[in-house]
Amino acid sequence: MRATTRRILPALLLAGLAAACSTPSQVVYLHPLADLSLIKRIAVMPLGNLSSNTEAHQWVRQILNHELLVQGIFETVEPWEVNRVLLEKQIPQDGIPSLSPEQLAELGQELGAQAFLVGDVLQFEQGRYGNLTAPEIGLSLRLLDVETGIVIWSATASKSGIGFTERLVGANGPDLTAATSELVRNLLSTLST
Amino acid sequence: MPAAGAARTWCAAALLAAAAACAAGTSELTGSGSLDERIPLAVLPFQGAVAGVDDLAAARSTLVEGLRATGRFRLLPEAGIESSLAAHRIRVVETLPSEAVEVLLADLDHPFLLTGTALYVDDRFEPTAAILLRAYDPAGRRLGSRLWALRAADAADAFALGAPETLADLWAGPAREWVEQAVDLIEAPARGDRPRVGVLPFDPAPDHPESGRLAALVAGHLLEEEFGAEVAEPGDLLNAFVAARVRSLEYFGTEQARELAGNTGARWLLAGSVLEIDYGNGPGQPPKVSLTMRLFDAESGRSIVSGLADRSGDEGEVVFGIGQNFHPVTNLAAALRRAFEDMNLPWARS
Repeated sequence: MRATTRRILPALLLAGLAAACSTPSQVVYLHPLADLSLIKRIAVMPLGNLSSNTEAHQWVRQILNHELLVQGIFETVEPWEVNRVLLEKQIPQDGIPSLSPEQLAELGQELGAQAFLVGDVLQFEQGRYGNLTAPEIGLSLRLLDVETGIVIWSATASKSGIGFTERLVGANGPDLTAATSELVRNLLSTLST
Repeated sequence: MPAAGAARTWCAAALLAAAAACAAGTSELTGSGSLDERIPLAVLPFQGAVAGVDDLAAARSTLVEGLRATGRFRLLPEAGIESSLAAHRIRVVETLPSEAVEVLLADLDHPFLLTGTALYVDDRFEPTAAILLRAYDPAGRRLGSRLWALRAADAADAFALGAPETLADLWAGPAREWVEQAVDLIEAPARGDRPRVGVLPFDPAPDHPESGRLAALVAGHLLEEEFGAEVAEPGDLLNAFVAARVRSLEYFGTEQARELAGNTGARWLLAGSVLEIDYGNGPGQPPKVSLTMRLFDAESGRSIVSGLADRSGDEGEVVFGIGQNFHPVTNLAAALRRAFEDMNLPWARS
C-alpha cells in the first residue's frame, strides 16, 4: 500500500503541475472538398480586434504576413497593396466578412488572390501569475475562397498561462511577439499538411 | 627709398607670421599652393530626434576638439558652416538629399563632411545617449556611419566609480574612443560597388511615434556597416516620395515602389514595423523591442525575405546578469541584427 502511494503521489503532483501550466489549445476545420494545393496566392486582410489591446490586430497581421512568407505555403499579396485596393474600393478595414460573394470575387480578381485570410484577435495581453507574467493570446483565422465565399479552412487557437519550466525556475513567460509568432506558426502549419 | 623699405618690412613680417603660425600648428592657409596638409573637415551641427536638448552642442564641440587635437584635420569654423546652411535654407541635417550635400560641399570649398544625428538622449534616470555619425567625402559620396551609444554606467570604471552624472560628462568621458571612431570613418578606404537599398521609414509603435524613424536609421546603419549594402540617402528617399506622390506607406503600391527605386537607384527596398518598444528604466527594467522587416524587390514590388525579432536587454544569453544590455539603442540594434541574419539577405547569399 505504501509503495503504491509512493508511486502515485509523484504522478499526481506532476499531473497537477501540468494542469496549472501553460495551456495551448487549437481547433482546426478543413472543408472536406477543399484542395489547398490549388491555392497559390492569398491576401491577408485586416483582422478584427476583440481584445483589450487596441493595436493587437495590426500586430498579429504583421506576424501573419511574416510567417506566411517564411513558411512559403502560399504567395501573399503585399499588405500595402491590400490596403490600397480596400481604400480605393471604399471597403472598411473590418468590412470583408460582410461582402457579398460577387464583391469578394471582384476584390480577389483585383488583388490577384485565390483566397483571403480573415479573422479576429480574441485575446492579446500579458497575464499576471503571481509575480510572473506570461502572454494570453487567442486567435481565430479563416481562409475564404474568393470565388464562392466558402470557408475552406478555419482555425482557432489560444495560448495562456505560464510554462512548467518557467514556473519551476521562477522566470516570466515569453514575450507577446514570440508567443504570437509560435501560435501563428502552429496554426499555419495545419495548412501545409 | 621708403617704398622698398616698406616692402622688405612687410615680407619679413609675413615670414615671421607664417613661421609663428606653423610653429603653433594652426596654419589656416588654404587655396592653391596651400601649405596645410591636414584634411579639411566640416562637422555640421548635431540634430536629432530629441527636441530641446542643448547638450547636443556640447557633444559636437567635444568631438570637434578631439578631432582638432589629433592634428590631422583642419576643422572649418562653426560660424561659416552655419551661414552656409542658412544660405541654402538647410534646416534638417539628418535627411540631407545628395543635391544639398553637393551644394554645401561646394560652398565650403569641398571639405570632408561629418553629420551627427542624436537617436536617443535621456537623463531622467541616468545619462544615456546614442548618436549616429555619418561621413561624406569631398565629392559627396557617403563614406559610412558609426553608432556611438553610451550609458553612464558603461562609462564608469570596474568599481562603478566615476559614472558621468550629466550628459556633458557623458560626452566628455570616453571622448577618445569617439574621436577614434570618427577618424576611422573619415579615413576609411572607399568601398566598392554594393547593392543599393532604400530604407523606408518603419511604422512606429503606437505609443512611440519616434520609434519608426529610429529603427529605420539604425537598420540603415547596420545594412551599410555590417551587411554589405549601400543605403540610399534618406533625404533622396523623401524627395522620391514626393515625386512618386506617396502620401502614406500604408497605401503604397507596386508602381510607386518601382518609381521610388528608379529615383533613388535602389535595387531593394526595406520596410518594417516596430510592434513594441520600451526604452527601459535601468536595472530591473531593461529595454525591450519587437519588430518585423520585409525586403522588397524594387522592380516587382514583391517581398523577398521577411524578418521578425524581439529582444529584451536581459535575454537568455545573459548568465547571472553578466552581459545585460541596458542601452535601448544597442538593444534595438541587436534585434535588427538578429532579424537581418535570419533574413539571409539575397546579396549576402553565397
